[in-house]
Amino acid sequence: MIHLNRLGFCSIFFFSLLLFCSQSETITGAGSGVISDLDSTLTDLDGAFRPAVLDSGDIQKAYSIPNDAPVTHRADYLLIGENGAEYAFGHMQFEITDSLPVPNTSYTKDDTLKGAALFFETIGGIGDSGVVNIYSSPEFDSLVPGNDTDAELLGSVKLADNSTDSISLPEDLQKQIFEARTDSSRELTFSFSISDTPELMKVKNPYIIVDVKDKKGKTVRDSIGSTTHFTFYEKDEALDSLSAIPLASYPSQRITVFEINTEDIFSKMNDASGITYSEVLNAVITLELQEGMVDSVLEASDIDLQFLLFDKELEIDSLRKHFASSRHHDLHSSFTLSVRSPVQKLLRGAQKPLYAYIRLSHSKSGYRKVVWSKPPKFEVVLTPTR
Amino acid sequence: MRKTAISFLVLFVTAGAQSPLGLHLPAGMPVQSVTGLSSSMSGSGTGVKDENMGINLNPANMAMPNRSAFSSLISYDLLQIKEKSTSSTTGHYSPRMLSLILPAGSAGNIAFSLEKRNDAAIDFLNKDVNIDNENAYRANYIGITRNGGLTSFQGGWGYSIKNGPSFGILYERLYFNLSSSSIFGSEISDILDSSEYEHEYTFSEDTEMSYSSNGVRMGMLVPIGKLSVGLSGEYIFYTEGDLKRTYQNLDSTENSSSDFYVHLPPSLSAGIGYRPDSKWLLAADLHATLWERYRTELGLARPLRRAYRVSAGARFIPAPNKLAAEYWETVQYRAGVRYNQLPFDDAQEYAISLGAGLPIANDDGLIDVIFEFGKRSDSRFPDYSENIIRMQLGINGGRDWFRKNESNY
Repeated sequence: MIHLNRLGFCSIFFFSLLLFCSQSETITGAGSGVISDLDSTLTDLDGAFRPAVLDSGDIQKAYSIPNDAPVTHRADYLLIGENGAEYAFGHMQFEITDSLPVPNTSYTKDDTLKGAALFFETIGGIGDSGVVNIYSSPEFDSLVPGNDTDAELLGSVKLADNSTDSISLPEDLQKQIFEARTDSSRELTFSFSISDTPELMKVKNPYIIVDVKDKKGKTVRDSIGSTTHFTFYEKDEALDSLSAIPLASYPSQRITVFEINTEDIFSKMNDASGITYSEVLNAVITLELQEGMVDSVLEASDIDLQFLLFDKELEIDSLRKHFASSRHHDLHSSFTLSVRSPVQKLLRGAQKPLYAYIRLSHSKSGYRKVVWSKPPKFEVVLTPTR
Repeated sequence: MRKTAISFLVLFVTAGAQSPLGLHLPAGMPVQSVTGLSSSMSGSGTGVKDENMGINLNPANMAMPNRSAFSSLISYDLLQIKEKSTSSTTGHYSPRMLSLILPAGSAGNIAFSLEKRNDAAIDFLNKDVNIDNENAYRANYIGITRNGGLTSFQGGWGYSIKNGPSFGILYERLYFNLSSSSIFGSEISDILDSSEYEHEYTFSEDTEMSYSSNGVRMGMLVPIGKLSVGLSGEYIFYTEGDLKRTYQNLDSTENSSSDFYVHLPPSLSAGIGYRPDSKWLLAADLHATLWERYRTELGLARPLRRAYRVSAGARFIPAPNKLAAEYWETVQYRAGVRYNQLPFDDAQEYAISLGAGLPIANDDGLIDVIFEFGKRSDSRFPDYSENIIRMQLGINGGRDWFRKNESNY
């Protein structure tokens, strides 16, 4: 057995203690030349990152593509009328069932029906006023938008900004409504369409007021709300002119397209030293709205946009599928989007133009149509491949 | 568990080399891990038989019949890095070696040693601002943190022919561990139509590399009157290692792992020692590490060459045998000078050392205090140099194994 004397014991103890005290300090400043020489693809502080910056001059084409069919929106308002190359039909449907809320003072079939009218209340418009026609309409499930040739004209109402007007319903319909509201075993569904306003109007969900006189001679007023759809069209004769500009429209779902020349990005990937800069550290694109192209009267403030980047032109069906799973961004007059992931994927292949697709989406409050400026900046930061 | 424990020990032992030049070497910067006596003579002692020399220079030095010896050394290095008009000073301390020689009766001696061979540690951070004006800002930064290096665990046997030559042979197990984390980043901001936007890009690479290898060291010491001549050599066998890398970009991580082979270089040393009397010891060494025979499939930052080291040193004891000597007369006064090449062209290091061996009263122990002043340069980087001030503390113990004494050893 080994017996260590005091010196040996203290030495080992001292040494062991120092094992746990080893330390070093950070070198700053000096030595970067030696570090850079190690692996210039990573450590060359001047050449480690290579930005490729495109501007609006690198946008080869700026245009838009229409949706392949008129777009029907279900909302708690109606858009109706024309706005230049676009027009909209509105549809409303009433469903009377036992689940419909009853008025504070209920009435029965023994009371007397005084009348029932359909009310319209505008909440915005491009024009000052307009007369719209109300037609009978098939129910939503069997509705073919714009193809309702057998519709019966019920009457007209005059709509002005922030005003209310109404038409009286046909007597037999009034009677059916009264019977359905006073007999819980009966159900009633009926629809109307609304069109022909000269300029675009935004109308609050129409509603029916039923006036009933009870046995005491007191008037009871019953309100029945509707569910509404509106269908947005682009005029056939305007399709070419609309497609020639980078327009994005929420109601018609027109999509903006920019074709971007990527020659400069690909040229930055290789340099004379043989280093390949093909790793994308970041890529951003800046989007800006053109001034004066916003329809401010009906402008929706809760609009989102979606953005896609591909190396080929896509059909509308394919775009719709990609947009369905793409991220939503708030719409601002100018903002920058990160596109690192798609650019990295695109740079793995051969040089091709990039196609940026922009769609407005997800509005609850109305109408928005914008024209984009050509992206003023498309910046890609490259670093050498490892 | 065993592997984890060894890695843990190796990482602590190898903390703190700091030289950026070490990044160009496959195992980090070579480190001189010798006992205090040798270190204060600038690494000389292959041809010297002395119990305070340990077995780090020549395994034959373990052959000391019926003697035991113990040596350890720690080092505090102050490194000043100069590059053009900038400089950075960094300090670090770490243990260097531990050596124990035990007698094995008529069979000779056995010895064990732990020593740091190469040190890959560095902690580096730099930021370059390329553009900084009211419209744009561009800055690149780089940070490298490395810990690890090559450590040798040795055990062996030595035998001395009475009044004749001594021989020693050691088996060694070498462990290389490297834990590296590098980050390369760029900060970019621009003013775009009155609205500022900023981006920060980073790319990081984490590396874990390890291998262990077997080696053998042999040496002999031949006394020729007042002169002694020593030879020693080392051969390390081919081995395979593991490499794990993780690359991380902004939002993507890529992991890879692979095996690689490595064959560490052999080395040779020759030295002479001369004792004209009991007061003086003179020593000179020539050492060569055959880095040109280093093989790996990982690739090299730079071509490697054979690296020579030449050193010479002296020890003086004013009154080694005086019974009633003053304390200062028993102190060992030492000095040395060395020149050694780094394993790549036109890179070298030279240093002078001064030291003292302070006897511990009423004991066979000795405390070494050593100061070394050196300079490291590489003509590949003409504006770059490193100044080194090294302060070392060594502890030595020696005892006749079978001497009857009231104290135990």
